[in-house]
Amino acid sequence: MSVLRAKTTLRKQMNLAWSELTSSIGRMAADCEVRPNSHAEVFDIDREDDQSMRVVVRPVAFRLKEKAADDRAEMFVTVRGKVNFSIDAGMDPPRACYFNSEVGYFRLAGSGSKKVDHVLGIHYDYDDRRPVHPVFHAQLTSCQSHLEFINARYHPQLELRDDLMTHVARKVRLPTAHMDPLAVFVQLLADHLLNENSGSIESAAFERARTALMFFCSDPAKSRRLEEVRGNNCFRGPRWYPIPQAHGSTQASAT
Amino acid sequence: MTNPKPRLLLIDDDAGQLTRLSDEIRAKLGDDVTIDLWRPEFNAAIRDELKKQLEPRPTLVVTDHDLTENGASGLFGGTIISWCRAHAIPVGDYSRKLSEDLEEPDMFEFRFDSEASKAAEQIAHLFLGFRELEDLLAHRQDPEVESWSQSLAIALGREEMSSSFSLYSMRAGASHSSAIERLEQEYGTAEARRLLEIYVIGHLLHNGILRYAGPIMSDRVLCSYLAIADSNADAAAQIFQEARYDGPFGGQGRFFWQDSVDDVLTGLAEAAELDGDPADDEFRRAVMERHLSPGTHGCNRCGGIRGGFRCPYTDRTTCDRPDCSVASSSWIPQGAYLTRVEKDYYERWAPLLGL
Repeated sequence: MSVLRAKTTLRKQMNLAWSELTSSIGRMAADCEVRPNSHAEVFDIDREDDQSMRVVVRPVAFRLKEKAADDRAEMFVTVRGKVNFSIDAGMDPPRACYFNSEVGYFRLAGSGSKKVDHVLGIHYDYDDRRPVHPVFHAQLTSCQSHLEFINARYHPQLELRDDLMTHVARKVRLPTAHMDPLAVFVQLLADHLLNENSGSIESAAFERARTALMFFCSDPAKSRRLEEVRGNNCFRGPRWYPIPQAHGSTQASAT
Repeated sequence: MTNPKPRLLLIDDDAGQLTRLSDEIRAKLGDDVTIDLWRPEFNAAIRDELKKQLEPRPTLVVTDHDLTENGASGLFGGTIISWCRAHAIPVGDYSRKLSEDLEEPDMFEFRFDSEASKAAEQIAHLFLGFRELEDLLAHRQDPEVESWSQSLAIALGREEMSSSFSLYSMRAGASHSSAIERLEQEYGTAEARRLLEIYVIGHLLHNGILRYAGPIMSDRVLCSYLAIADSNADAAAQIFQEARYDGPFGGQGRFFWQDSVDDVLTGLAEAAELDGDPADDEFRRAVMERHLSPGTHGCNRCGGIRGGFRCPYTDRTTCDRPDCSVASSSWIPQGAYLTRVEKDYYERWAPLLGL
């Protein structure tokens, strides 16, 4: 498959996943949504290098309920990031070899308020090189600047009242799952639009979105650390950290 | 027992217009269709008469806007339209007196040209489209579906398009609750479901998906998508022949699947050894320049070499330059991602019309 054909295929899959996501949100909660609607405004796909293709996820803004049972959608969540795909791994399914995601949560200061509090900011990352970084991890951070994405998409001219992320411990690296931007989308639907009382329509819509957003996989072959995880069939946190020098050459090749 | 012929009901207070229209349509549809004409007269029981006229249930009803000339004072096309909509019968109107005003598009109403021969063409295509849709839905492979969009996607053999179609009307079912109740009383649950499905899908396909470009685009939008002149439509249609949409209502013009257009375009780029992104309008034009000599489309902002979108109100090519178009408009269905309103037009009308 040529790089151009791989790019066309990837874009088609990204577009379908985005359509499924936007359509599912409408089925799960009528007053919740994500903007922009058009996938053309969300994904930029280009060649990163000879081995990989880069998909940039431009800033998107969700309007969600904080809890599925809430009667008002007063939580805005912004997401942006990128995912790289291995070209040499083939495209069926595509294999993601690198990603990062920035996620900002903003809560309206009150119903009808024009002010928001920045209540959570997270940066998800993949790092197979630096010795003290878990292979998949998250760091808390301020995404205060993301407020402009919300204002650009919803035109409410919201102002920041309080940034609760100003003094968080930013150096803490929490081992996580593979949370590329599309994985974050699934998490947002699960956290904010579903609960134990959700009916079959909401559950089916969630499942359709989840399935559509799972069209690609991690690329464990690209990471020695993950090979060790698979080899030991163990998903404990310590496995996310570097392989000891004696076991492999990842350190040397990464430096 | 053989199935009765499908029925088309034409309503006008002008006998001459009824005959002209009927003759023109008959010439296009042949004798496999029953065309009934109704010229409303003064009648205190107009509701009973209307009920009688709608039996047996027509595939399509076409009415003039003003029906008062023959004594039916106060009877306008709006009454017919409301009645048909309440019973989920496809209906459309034309007017020989009123010019077409700028108004918010109604997904569940058809508008025909005031000139009889043009109207006949439109009516015949619409009628055939509904018949084709009915047939497709009856023969689709998997009749267990959760939504109208899935139903349409399966019927067209493009199940993966279900979510893209669904964005054209997230809440199509909710506005038909009274029609559902009536149809269930009259025909029973299974038949009511079948009739409503044809009604909803037919309108959303004709008035939404095919009118506001997204997963499917017309030949003119294809030119906009490729950032070439409208005058290249014939050549482009030939190049993208294998991307043609040939489903219901497709006979009203030339339509193309956007994802298949991208596949063809990728093949053309590979053959020309061009590298780029088929999602980029400038790359698409560059590919076309290798295969034909495309004209520019006359926009003075970009010199007519950008594109990707079309404005449904000015019928001109637009691109994503901030001085060219705006992406969001409440008049454009959510799923119509190849549709953007030209900025000048938007700024002129949006404050007045809530565009």
